[in-house]
Amino acid sequence: MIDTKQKTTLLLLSPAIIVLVMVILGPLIFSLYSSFTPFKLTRPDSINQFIGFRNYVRIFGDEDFWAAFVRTIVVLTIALNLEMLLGLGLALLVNRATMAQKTLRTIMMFPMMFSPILVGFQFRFMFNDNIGVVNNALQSLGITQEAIPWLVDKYLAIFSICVAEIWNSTSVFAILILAGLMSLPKDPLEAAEVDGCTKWQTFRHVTLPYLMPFLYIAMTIRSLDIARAYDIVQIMTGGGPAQRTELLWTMIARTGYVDAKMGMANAMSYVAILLSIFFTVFFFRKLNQARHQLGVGL
Amino acid sequence: MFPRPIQSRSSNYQLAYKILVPVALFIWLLPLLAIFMTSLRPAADINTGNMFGWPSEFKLVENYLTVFRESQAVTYFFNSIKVTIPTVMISVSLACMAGYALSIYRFRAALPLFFMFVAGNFVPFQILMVPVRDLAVQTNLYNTVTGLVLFHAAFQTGFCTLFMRNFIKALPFDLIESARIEGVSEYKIFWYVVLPLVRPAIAALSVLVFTFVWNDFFWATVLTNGEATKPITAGIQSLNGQFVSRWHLVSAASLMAAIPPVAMFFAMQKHFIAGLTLGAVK
Repeated sequence: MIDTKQKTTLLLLSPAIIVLVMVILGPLIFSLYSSFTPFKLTRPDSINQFIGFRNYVRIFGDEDFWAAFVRTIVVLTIALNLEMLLGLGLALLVNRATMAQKTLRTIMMFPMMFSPILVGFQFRFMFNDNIGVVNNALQSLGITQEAIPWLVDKYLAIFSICVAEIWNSTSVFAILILAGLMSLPKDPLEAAEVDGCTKWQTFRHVTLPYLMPFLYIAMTIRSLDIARAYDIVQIMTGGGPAQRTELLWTMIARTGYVDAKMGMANAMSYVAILLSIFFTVFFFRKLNQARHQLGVGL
Repeated sequence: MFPRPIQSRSSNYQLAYKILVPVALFIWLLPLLAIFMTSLRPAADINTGNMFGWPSEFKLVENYLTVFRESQAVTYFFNSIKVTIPTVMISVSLACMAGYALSIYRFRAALPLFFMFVAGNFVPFQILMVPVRDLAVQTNLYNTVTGLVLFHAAFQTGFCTLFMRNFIKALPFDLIESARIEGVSEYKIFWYVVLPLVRPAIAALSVLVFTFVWNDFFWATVLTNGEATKPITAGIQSLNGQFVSRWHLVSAASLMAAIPPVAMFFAMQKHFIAGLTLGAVK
C-alpha cells in the first residue's frame, strides 16, 4: 500500500518538479552565481572571474539605487492603500446591486483584463502634455491654460504612474473583496441587526473582520506585483526624466542591458527581492492573525 | 438577508443608489471610454487637438480595418491564441497533479517541495531573462510558439500548484479515506473523486492563467523576435512604432487585444468567484 502511494506521489509530482528545476531553479542559481562576478553580456568570459561581494558592497554606497528603492516603497504604499479603499468601495457598491450584477461585475473587472503594457500606452497617451485627453479636458473646462507636464515633472510623473497602476489593479482588490462579501455568513449579521447595531457598527465589527483575510491575500499578491513593477513604468516614462521616476526593476533592467553590467544587475536583483520577501512575510503574518481571529485554522 | 435587497429600502435611498452606481461606473471606465472614443476618431481630430469633444466623423469600421490591413495584427492575434490555450492546459493539469500529491499524501519532502513552488512565485522574471534565453537558444526553442508555451507553462506552474494545493487541502479528507477503504485505486480517486470536486477551482485558475499569459509582454519580447511568432502584446508595441502618433489606430489595436480575456471572464465568472471564495478562507 505504502509503495503504491509513494509511486503515485512520485509520478504525480515529478513533471511539475522537473519543469520548475529546469526553467526556474537552474537559471536562478546561475544568476546568483553571476552576481559574484563582473559578468558583462558583451564579454562572456567575464563570468569566470570571481569577485566575491564587491558588487554588493558597491550597491550599498550607490545613492541612485537607494533612491529607486525608496521610490518603489513610496509607490507601493500609495498604490496599495488607495487600491484597497477603492476596491472596497467598488465591491460594496456592486454587492448591493440586485439587477444586472453579472454585467456590473464584468465591468468592474475590465481594467484587470488589460495588459499592463496596454495600460501604459493608454495612460502615456492620456497624460501627454500636448495631445493628451487629460490636459485637453482641463483646458476646455477652463481649469488651467497651460499644458501640465504630467510625465515630465518629477512628482507629477510618479503621480501619473500611480494612477495607471491603481486603475489597472484595483480590480484585484475589488474581486477578492466581492468574493469575501458573497461568502459572508448570514447569522452574525442578523444577530447584529437584532441587537440593534448601527450600520457602521455592523460593518466595522462584523463585516470587516470577515473581509480581512481577503484583503490581506489581495495585499500579498499586489505587493509582489508592485515591487517588481516594470511594464507600466517602462512604457510611460522609461524611468526618466533623468532617472527621477526610476523604480527598482526599471533600474535593474537598465543596468543589466543598457549598461551591460549583468553581474551588478543580478546583485541588485537579490537586494530588491529582500523587499518582496519582507512584504510577503508581513502580509502573511497579518493574514494568519486575521484567520485566527475568525477561528479558522490555516 | 444581507445584503438587503435595494428594493426594500426607502425611496430616497434607492434614488441615491441608482445615481451613485452609474456615476461610479462612469468614472471607473473613463480611461476606457477615452481610448474607445479615440479609436473612433479620424486622424484629423487628433492632429487638430479635438481629443475630448465629439468626434468630427465616426471611423469605427475604417480604423479597425486599417489595423488589420496595414499590420499583422491577425497573425499576432492567432499567435497569442496558439500560445495561451496550450499553456493553460499544461500548467493547470500539472498543478492538479502536483497539488493533489502535495495535499493528500504525507511525506517528509512535502513541505520543502511546497515552499519551492511558493518561492517560484516570488522570483522576479527579469532575473531569469538571460539564462532562460540561453536555454531557449540551446534547445532550439528560441522564437518558436512551442518554446513560448513551454516556458510560460513552467513559470505558471508554481502559482497554479499553490492555488490547487490549497483547494484540495480544503476538501473533506473523509471522502478520500472512505474511497480508499472501498479499495478504489489512487488514480481513480484522483480522477473520479477529487477532480470533479475542484472543478470551480480549475475554472478560476484557468481564467487567471489565461489572463496572465495573454497579457504577458516580457517573455514575448525575450523569447521571440520575428513577426511569425510574436503574440499580440509584443505586436502592439511594434504597431506603436509602425503607427507613429496615429493614436487612433494604436487605441483600436489595444482594445482588440483585450477582448479575449474579457470574454473569457464573462463566460466563466460564476465559477471564478466561487473558486476565489473557497480558496481564501479555508
